[in-house]
Amino acid sequence: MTLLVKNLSCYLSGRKIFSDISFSLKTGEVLKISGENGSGKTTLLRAISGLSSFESGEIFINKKEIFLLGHNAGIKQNLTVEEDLEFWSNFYQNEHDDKILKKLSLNSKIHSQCRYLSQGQKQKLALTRLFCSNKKIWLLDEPFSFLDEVSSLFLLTKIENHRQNNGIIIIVSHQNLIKNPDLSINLGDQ
Amino acid sequence: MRIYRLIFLRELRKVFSYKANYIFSLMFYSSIIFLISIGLQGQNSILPNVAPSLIWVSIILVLFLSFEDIFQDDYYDGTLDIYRIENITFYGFALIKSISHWLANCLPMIIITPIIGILVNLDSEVILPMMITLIIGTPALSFIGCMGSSLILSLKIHGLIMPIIILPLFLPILVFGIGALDVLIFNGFEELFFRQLALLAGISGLSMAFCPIASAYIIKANYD
Repeated sequence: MTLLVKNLSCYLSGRKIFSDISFSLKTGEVLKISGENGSGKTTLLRAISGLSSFESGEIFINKKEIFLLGHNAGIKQNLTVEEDLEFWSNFYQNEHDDKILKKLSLNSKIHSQCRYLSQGQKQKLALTRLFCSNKKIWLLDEPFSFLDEVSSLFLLTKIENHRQNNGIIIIVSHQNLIKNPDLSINLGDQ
Repeated sequence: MRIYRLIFLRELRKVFSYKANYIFSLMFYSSIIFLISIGLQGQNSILPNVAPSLIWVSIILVLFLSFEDIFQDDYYDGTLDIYRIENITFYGFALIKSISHWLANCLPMIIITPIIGILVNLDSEVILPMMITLIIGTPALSFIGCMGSSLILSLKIHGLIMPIIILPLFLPILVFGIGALDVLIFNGFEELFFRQLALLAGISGLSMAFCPIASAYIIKANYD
């Protein structure tokens, strides 16, 4: 499995967001995208996942294997954490792991409505969906946002495991937690 | 099909967990009828004759309150993004949304209509046909409303855009819904009543067939 992006350019209302982006990722590789606010990191991820259109270029990707963890994770305010977990585990036909809930300290919130969760807890809930999905290509937009140190380290371990299990990871992050990405792109240099 | 069933169940869970929403809708529905009944005090003979119009118009007014955020939640919380990536068709999603909207908003109002009927001195023989016209006609309101809601999907400030666009589409439903009952009140059961009912069913059928397609197209256009 390979992810290939060739000469990708994106403009919004005539303003250049990014242009001529090319890269190729093989299984087990990690790409880190950085850049200042508004440099087009999220737009690039959305373009790769097929959510945003782009002016020119080509993307070769197995769309069935994509998982996008964006700023909004489809969490319904008035459903409980348990209902959310149950829905996504049925959706992906994959039981969610109680150990992960414990590790992310979400097990005590299982009966709480999502509206009462903090931003960090919502991010953790979104991560449980990621781990439940069994997708090979992870597109992670600021996955460490709002996470405490323990959860950040847990996510780092999961990313490393996914990499070793022949997954592909594209990660947008302002933090320098990903130490050895196979490829780095700084959209601020554009 | 399995995934659409899951989404449908989640939607039902979601809409019915907003208890305040449908309780306030029912209260608003009853209040409109109650206020107009008080306004027509002293003209008790008029009330049963205008009751069908009163009930239909009140239901439409109440439904307008619920149309605005049918799709907006899903757009802003990222649900639509996830479904798009997971290849869930917007047609299927719009269909699910319309059905769950009808179940959560129209059905409770239809259920309390016999009580409302007593409030407006509606002849007991007319109450059951009234409910039948509502059961046949209100799905069209939900399906057209969902289509209207998809039009304002990405607009944070939309004001009266949606009501202005979809109100004309409600006119045939209103005309045939009230028309059928007027025939019944003034002439009793006759062929014209069933004709009007058939037309109402036709409009509902057309709305069910075409509105989800239009909604899906509009939602997709928001992404392109």
